[in-house]
Amino acid sequence: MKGVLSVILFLLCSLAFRYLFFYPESQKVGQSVTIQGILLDEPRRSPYSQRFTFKNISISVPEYPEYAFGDFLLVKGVVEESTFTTKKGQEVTDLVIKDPIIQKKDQPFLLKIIMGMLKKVTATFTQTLPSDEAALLLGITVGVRNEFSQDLLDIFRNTGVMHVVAASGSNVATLTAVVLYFCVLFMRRQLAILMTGLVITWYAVLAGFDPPIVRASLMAMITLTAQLVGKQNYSLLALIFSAWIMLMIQPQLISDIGFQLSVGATAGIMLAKPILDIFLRFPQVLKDDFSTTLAAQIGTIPILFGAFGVFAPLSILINLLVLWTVPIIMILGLLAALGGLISPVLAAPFAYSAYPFLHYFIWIVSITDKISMPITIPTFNFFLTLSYYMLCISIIILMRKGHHEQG
Amino acid sequence: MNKGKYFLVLGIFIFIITSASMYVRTYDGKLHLIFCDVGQGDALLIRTPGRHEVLIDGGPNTKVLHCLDDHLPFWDRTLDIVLLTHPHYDHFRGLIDVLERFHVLFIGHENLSHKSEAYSVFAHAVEQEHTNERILQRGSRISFSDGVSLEILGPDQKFLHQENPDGFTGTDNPPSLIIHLTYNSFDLLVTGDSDGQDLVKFVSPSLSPDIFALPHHGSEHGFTKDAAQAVHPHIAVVSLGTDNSYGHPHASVLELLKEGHVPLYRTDKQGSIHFLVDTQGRVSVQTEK
Repeated sequence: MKGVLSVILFLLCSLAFRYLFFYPESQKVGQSVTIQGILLDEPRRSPYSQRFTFKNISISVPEYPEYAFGDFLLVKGVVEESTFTTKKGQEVTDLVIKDPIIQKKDQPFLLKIIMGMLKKVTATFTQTLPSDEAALLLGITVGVRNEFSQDLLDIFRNTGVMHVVAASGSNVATLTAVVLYFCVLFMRRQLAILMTGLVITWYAVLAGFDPPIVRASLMAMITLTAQLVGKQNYSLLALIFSAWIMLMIQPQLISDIGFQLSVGATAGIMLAKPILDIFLRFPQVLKDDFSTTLAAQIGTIPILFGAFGVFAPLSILINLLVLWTVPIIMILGLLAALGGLISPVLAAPFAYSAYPFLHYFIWIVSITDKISMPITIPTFNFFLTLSYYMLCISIIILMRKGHHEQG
Repeated sequence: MNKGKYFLVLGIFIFIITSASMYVRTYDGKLHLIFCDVGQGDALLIRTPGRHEVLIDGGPNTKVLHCLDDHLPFWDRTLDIVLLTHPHYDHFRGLIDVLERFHVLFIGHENLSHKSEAYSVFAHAVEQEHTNERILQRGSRISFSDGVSLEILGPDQKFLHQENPDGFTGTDNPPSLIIHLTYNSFDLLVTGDSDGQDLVKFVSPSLSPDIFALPHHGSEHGFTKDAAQAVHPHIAVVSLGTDNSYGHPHASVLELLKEGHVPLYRTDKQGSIHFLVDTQGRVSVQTEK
C-alpha cells in the first residue's frame, strides 16, 4: 500500500512540475500571431459559415473552403477578445481571430493515413445507412462526431447518452475482451496478448487518438503488460498512470470534456460499482448494466453539469434500455469499417446487421427525450466539484470499511 | 452467452419488423409528393408508383437528408433523378450532401452557374460522383413506365441566355425551371423561384394544377396578380423558414389565394408535407406537425 501511495505521489508531483514550468503560454490580446498545428476541434457548420476552436482561439470563417478535424493548419491574424451571451444566459469572453488568413498544409504522414482511413470509413457508412444511423455507428465505432445533426446531439445530451455515442473507453474494453477471447483459442497466451495489443493500437489510430480511446487503450496496454509479466492487476493504478502519461504529453487535455468524462466514469466504475453491486437488489440480467451506469454517473455528474449544464435523472433508465446494444453495434461497426477499407460491398452486410440496433437506440432516445426532464444548472464551480468528489470518496471508504467489518 | 442469444433474437425481430413496415409503407402503388421542411429553401421528393425517386432541389442545409431518410426505406440509397430549378444556395446546398451519400443516376439543370465557392463545391461533387448531367429546357420531358411524366415548361435556352448572357447568376433572381408533373388525371406544378412574368410567359393560361408549389417561397414577385390569371391551383404549398427575415409568405400572395379559395399548406407551420395520390387522382395529405 505504501508503495502504491508513493507512486501516486510521485506522479502528482511530476505533473505539477509539468504544469508549473512547461505549460504552453496562452495567447495575448492585440498580438499578431502565426499559429500552426493540427485542428483538434470538429467545426460547427451553419449555412454560410463554420466555427471552430484552434489552440484555444475561436475562429469563424465562411463555409468554404471546408476545414475538418485532423487538418494541418497555419493561421495568421490578430488575437482579440470577444464577449457573447450563451444559450444559458452566461456572459463568456473568448479569444478570437477575426478574418484570419488560413492555409491548409500537408498533413504529417501518419496523420494523413489516419484521416484517409477515417474518411473512407465515414463515406462507406454514410453511403450505406440513413444519416442518423450512420452518424451513430460512426460515433460509437470510431468516435467521429461531425456527422451528428444538431437535433440528434441535443437529444443525446438531454437523455444522458452522450458518453456512449462518442466512442467511449468501454469500447476498448469490449474489443480487448473479444480479441483476447478469440486469440487464445488459436495461439499461446503471451502471443494472444501481443496480438490484442496490436489490435488495440490499430483501433486507437482508427479513432483518431480520441482522448477517451487513448486513455482506455493505455489502460488496456498496462493491464495486458501486467498480465504478460505475471504481475497482479492494479486497475486504479493503471487509470492514474494512463491519465498521467496523457497529461505529461499534452497538458491542455485537462480541459478536454472527453478526457474528463472518461477518467471520471472509469474511476466511478472502479470505486463505486463494487459497493453498488453489494447493496443493489436487482434482477441479475440487468444488474451489471445498471450498477455500471449508476457508478459512471456518480463519477461524472459535476463534469456533466460543468460542460453541458444539464443532467437527466432519467438517463440511468435510458442507459439501461440502450447500453446492451453498444458492444454489438461496436463489433459490427468495426467489422464494417474493416470491410469498408477494402470495399464498400464488404461493409454492407455488417452495417445492415447493425441497423436494427442503431434504429432501436435512436428510437428509444427520441421517445424518452420528451419525458427526460433534464435538470439545468447554469454554473457548477470548482469548489462544489471538489467537495462533491471528496464526499463521494469518503462515503465509498466508509461503506467499504463497514462491509469488511461485517464480512 | 444466454443474454447474447436473447439480444440476437431481439435484434432480428426488430430488423424484420422495421423492414416489413418500411416496405409496406413505401411501396403502396401510390404517387408520393413530399415537400420537405428544410427551412428557408426548397426540396421536393417525388416517389412514383413504379418505385422511381426524383428529388427537386435540396434546400439550404443538410435537413434534406433527414427527409430522404424518413421517406425512403433504409436500404435504398439511389435516386433516379435530381433536378435543380436554379443555382441558388437555398436550392442547391443540400444537394452536395445528397450527392455524397446517394447514388444519383442523373442530374438535370438549366445550364446556369453561380459565382460562389459553394456552387463550385456542388459542381465538383457532380463531377466527382460521375453523375450524368442533362440540360433541361422548355419542351424537355422525362417519362416513367408507371405513367408519371415530368415536362419542362420553361425557360428555353434563348430566354435564359438573354437574361444571363455569361451563363452565370449572382444575387439576382434568374429564371427557374418550371416543372409540370402529370399522373393520370392528376398534375403538379413546381416553379422554383420563378417570378410572375416567367409564369405568365411559360405556363399555359388554362392550367389548373391539383397542387401548385408557390414560387419563390411566397414572395410577392412570384405569385403576382398576373400569375394568378395564368395558374388556377386547387391546393397551394409553400416551402419556407419559420420567422424568415424576408417576410415570406407575402400578404398579397395570401390575399390572392384567399380570393381564389385555394387552401395553403406551409412547411414553416406544418413541417414536411406529404401528399399521396392514388391511380384515380384522389389526393390525401399527411403533415409532420
